[in-house]
Amino acid sequence: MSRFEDQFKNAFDHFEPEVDPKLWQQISQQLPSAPQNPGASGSAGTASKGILAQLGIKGIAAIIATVTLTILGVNYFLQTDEKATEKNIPTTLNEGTLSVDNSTSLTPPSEQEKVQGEAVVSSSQEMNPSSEKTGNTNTENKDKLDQKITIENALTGDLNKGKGESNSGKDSPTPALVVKNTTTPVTTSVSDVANGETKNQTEPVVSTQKTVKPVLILSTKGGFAPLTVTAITNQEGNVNAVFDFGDGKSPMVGSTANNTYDEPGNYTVSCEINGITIEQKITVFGQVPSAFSPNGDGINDLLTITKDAGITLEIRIFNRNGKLMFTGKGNNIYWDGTFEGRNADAGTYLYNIFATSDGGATFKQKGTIHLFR
Amino acid sequence: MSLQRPLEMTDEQILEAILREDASAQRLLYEKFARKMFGVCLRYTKQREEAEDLLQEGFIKVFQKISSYKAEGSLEGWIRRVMVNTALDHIRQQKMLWTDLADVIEEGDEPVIGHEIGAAELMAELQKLPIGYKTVFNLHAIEGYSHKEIGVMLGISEGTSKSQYSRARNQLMILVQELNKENSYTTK
Repeated sequence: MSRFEDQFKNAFDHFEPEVDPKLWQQISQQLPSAPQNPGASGSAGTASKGILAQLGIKGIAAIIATVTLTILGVNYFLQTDEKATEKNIPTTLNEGTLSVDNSTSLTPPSEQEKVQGEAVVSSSQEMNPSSEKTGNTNTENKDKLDQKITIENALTGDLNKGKGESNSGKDSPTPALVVKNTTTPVTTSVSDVANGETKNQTEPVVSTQKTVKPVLILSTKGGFAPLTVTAITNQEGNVNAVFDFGDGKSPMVGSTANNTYDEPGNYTVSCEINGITIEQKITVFGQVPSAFSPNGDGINDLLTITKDAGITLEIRIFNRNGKLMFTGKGNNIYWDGTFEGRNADAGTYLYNIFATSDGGATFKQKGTIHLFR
Repeated sequence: MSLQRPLEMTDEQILEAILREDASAQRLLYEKFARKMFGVCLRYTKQREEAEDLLQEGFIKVFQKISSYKAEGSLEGWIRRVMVNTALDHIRQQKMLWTDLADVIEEGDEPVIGHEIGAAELMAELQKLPIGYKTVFNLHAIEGYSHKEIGVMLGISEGTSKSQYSRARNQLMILVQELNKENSYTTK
């Protein structure tokens, strides 16, 4: 085997992506011998004791780990719960669930996660009234949905889950938020476990939050219209940051917000958190055409991409088999739909655009172009 | 929460517990191998959801058939084969048309994958390949089956397996070159 394949094999040998925790629940429901209610403390407890008897020290380590996990879960829950109280949410239900969690210290982690999920969803719904004031209902709804997904991702620690976002996640700031959210509860809980205290757990978390300097992160610095930008802050929990995307739309409230720019231009995104305003610039270029018809009728015969003088573009167009059909560079690029002197087939082509501004900013865009004959 | 593996039991201990019908042992087995096997499932599919379905189906088969596991190879290897076979079942159901293609004549040097390119990015590139290319590449380059074996597994000729493989390899090289280029842009 040659080197190229080996590189793939080596990379995949140790690749262990996160798995959605709900999968185990789905699997266990289909197993004849699995307990019907995996959350029942009785069966889980008995089972663990059985293993303990078999395994001695390793088993004890296992139980300790499970208990730690549970405490962690409760810790996280307490944190959420306190925030919920701050927001004047009725907490009776949450407290009820919490006491159950304390008594069943061997509840599997999946059950914990489920409870946390509910708590967070309810608190994010609490933000509805404030965001609805700003109008713009469609965007707001989408925005809320995104928030929920992001927060749930944070809880499960699932970095790969970002639905509907760019699949590589390389440019997306979401993972940064996820890491932030998961890290803090973990560190606090370690010290809490050492102290053997559970009551004071929320205090260090709150104090950490106040000391974090607010940062505004945008998913991109520029690109072609329509350009969707996600803005997030590094603040944890239900921070009501006010985002203004500078395109005349109403400001949005939350810990994260999305906006789609349809018109080219230079925009300033501002974000106000706890009285501090942070700004970032974003540049939106005109749209890349989605189709052209090089049939000689004088209408859309050329695929033309023209940009301001300050931008250098490089485009590469591939057919569906990955064959490079066309490359162009400069700020005025056109393709007549031919390849090696012959007309290219009608169909869908993929393009990669790399753009560099005179200021040195670079960005890239992938997309498809339809060629009609 | 990334406290996925607090339980360091040996394969034998987990197996023993499962065969005793200790219900929590099934979960231990799952926790130990789910992530690695998800990586396998992703390679044979286009999307995450599809891979999740495969993983689910594969693990149910693992638990159904675990009593037939003979401790001849490693447990991980056995589970992996169950996963790959589950993936192949799905691929065979698609009643694909395998065509014999001329081998691609390779030009230029093999690209070296940039060190900043991770497995997740390579996975995304691999997932883009047409299903025939991808399956043969997986079976030969990653799983290590011969073209003859692959021919039997997929009901195709050895020659078809070879030509699909050479196409897959060629296309992956293009995709990797593209990825290297993009990265040099991003890090500039």
